[in-house]
Amino acid sequence: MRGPAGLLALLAVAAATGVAAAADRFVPTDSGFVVANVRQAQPDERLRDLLLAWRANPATAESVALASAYIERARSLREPAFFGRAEAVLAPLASKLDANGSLRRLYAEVLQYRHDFAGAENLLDALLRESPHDPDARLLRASVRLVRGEFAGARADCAQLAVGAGNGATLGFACLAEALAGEGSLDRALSLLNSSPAQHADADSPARAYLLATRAELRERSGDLNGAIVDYCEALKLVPRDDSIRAALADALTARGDAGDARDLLAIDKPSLALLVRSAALSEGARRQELSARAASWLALEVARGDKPHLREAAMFALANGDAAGALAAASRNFGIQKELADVRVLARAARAADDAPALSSLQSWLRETGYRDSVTEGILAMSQRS
Amino acid sequence: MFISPQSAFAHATSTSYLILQLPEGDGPVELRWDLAVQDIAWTVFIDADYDGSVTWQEVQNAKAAIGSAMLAQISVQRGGAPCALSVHDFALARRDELNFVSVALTAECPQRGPAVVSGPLFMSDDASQRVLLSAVRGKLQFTGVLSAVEPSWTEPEQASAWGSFVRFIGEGIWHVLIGYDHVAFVLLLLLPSVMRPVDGKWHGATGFSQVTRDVVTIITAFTVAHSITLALAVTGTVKLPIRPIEVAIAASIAVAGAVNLVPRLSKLRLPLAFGFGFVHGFGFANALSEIDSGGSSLLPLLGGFNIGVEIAQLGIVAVVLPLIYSMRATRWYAGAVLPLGSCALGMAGVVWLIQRV
Repeated sequence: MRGPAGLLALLAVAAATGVAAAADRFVPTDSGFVVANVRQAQPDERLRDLLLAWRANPATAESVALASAYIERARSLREPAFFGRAEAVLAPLASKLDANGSLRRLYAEVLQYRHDFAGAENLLDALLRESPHDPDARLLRASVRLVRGEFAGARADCAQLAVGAGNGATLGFACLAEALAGEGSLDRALSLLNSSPAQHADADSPARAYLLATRAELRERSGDLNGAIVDYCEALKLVPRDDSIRAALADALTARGDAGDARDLLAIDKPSLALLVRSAALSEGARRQELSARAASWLALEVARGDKPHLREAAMFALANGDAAGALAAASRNFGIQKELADVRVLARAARAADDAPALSSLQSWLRETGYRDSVTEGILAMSQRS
Repeated sequence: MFISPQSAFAHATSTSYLILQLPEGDGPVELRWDLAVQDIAWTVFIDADYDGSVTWQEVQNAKAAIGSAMLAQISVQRGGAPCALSVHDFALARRDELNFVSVALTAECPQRGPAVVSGPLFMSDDASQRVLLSAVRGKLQFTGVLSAVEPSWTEPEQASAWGSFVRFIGEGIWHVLIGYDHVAFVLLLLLPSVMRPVDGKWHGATGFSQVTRDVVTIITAFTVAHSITLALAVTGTVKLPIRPIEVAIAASIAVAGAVNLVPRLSKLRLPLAFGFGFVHGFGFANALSEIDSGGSSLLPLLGGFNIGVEIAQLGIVAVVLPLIYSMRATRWYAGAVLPLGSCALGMAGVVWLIQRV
């Protein structure tokens, strides 16, 4: 007699009944009415050339060139359809035993994008067994392992990258610190990042931004909120279109009590779901209703499409709307898939809001077993124990 | 991890919407297909002045090309025979903050039978493309999701009343067997049924027929009550939230466990079974609402499910009653099985109660 409760069930119902239903049709009276902006969505000249070359000969080289171009556009234009196009190009070849390394790495990127972390890691494991010196594949596997909370495995990959040169070394260095912090050596990780910033001065902007954002996160976890905000700001200046850093900075500002600044920071054109959910939570009145409706419609569309839902954002959204049980259900499922700082915190907040002793105790055990430290999570757990 | 790809972007594009009006007998299939301009733009060149903005005039100018492209991407069959598709109307529809081109089509079909919609549906070049389908046939509604992996949808056949009835008997049996709280309540009703209170103590009852009559009376009272609330809930006459019902079901188990410990309270078993039967009926309704009805009508669905529940309950009685009847005269039944069993089940009710509050 027990039925699914909470936000995900509601979204599933909304998705099944509402998303596919008819929207009102209309015929514009003005022939100059702008129906859509297709500047970013349609292929430019270079992409058209690559597409024609691939259609004429869908072999490995042409597929890799076209898929790389799609993925680059997916990132720079923040347009997910390009990932779908890359997948359509790569999928027929990626499963073949003799598939080229670059092609499989690109496919692993697509899988990671789709939150198929296990699939991506398996592919990268095989690839690195054959080509252990592929730094791109190693970096990608390190990032997958960090997301999944496999810190020991990530540390091994990051250490190999850190002894290299150039951008790879900077990325490896930052990722090594993140893995160490995940394994319980937060202070050591921080001193590693504080010790030699000059040696990474020549790295490109994304690599330096990653280094700064990692230090910011570690500072935040150690309780140095002001230091974290300085680093996040510097990182965001280097990569202003990076939604992860923007979201992390907004969280840090909110934690410091600067909700207005966080709200301003989140008010960008075409926000990702991560930004939209935060924006809605920080807004009030009609604005909050409008943003919440957009976020709910987004989450319902994911369910209707059968995509892997963004559980972290679903949990945050439920929490902001007072659905503690739904938030905990989503946060718990999410924690089984990814274990980044935001995942740990949303689980702690949801478990506290739902006053769920087993969930709180299970999180406490995980912190104890891994040695993972975060001042905010520890504070939430301590408050729960007192009350 | 700040080097991971950021995946939380909108999928407003790469999603199209197909709305079908299916005939109950003869007649054409009416379709409406809403597609994002951004998705059509890969197949049809619409932005004639290259300015990056598609105007309504440009859509109208490209109508023929858009129509041809859509017809090449979709096929409809009925009864195994292909239908002739034609485009007859263009408009716009607003979805997820985007304007979609909304094209109305008609499929003239030479045969009757279930409709099948398939085709590349613009999915062969974009693995993330999905078609969200909603269909209406009379009062029935269906939904589906088409993808490159499953690029086809088949209209469900009208479920026969007998087929639905038989199917829901199975659903009712299955629900009781997997619903441990319901089984616990039935067991709590059964455990003292082979005993009689004498001077505040349990003594083994005499006469299997008398015991059976008592059990049948109690189970029937429970059945009548839960059948009433199940019917009221399923027809929408009464609507109650799930959580308080789940809490009340757990409470019913705790109370039934406690009542079994006091022989003098055995007279309460019949009103208890009847009263809590109402609560359990709402629980059955929640379970029933989670089962896809497959378009079957209410009467066979409700009747089948109820009969399934009764079969499962009587099955439990048939297995447990002879067993406990044979043990009733032993000292350890009155001294251990009945009190400890009631305590254990009652405590389980308390735990569920705490979990559900």
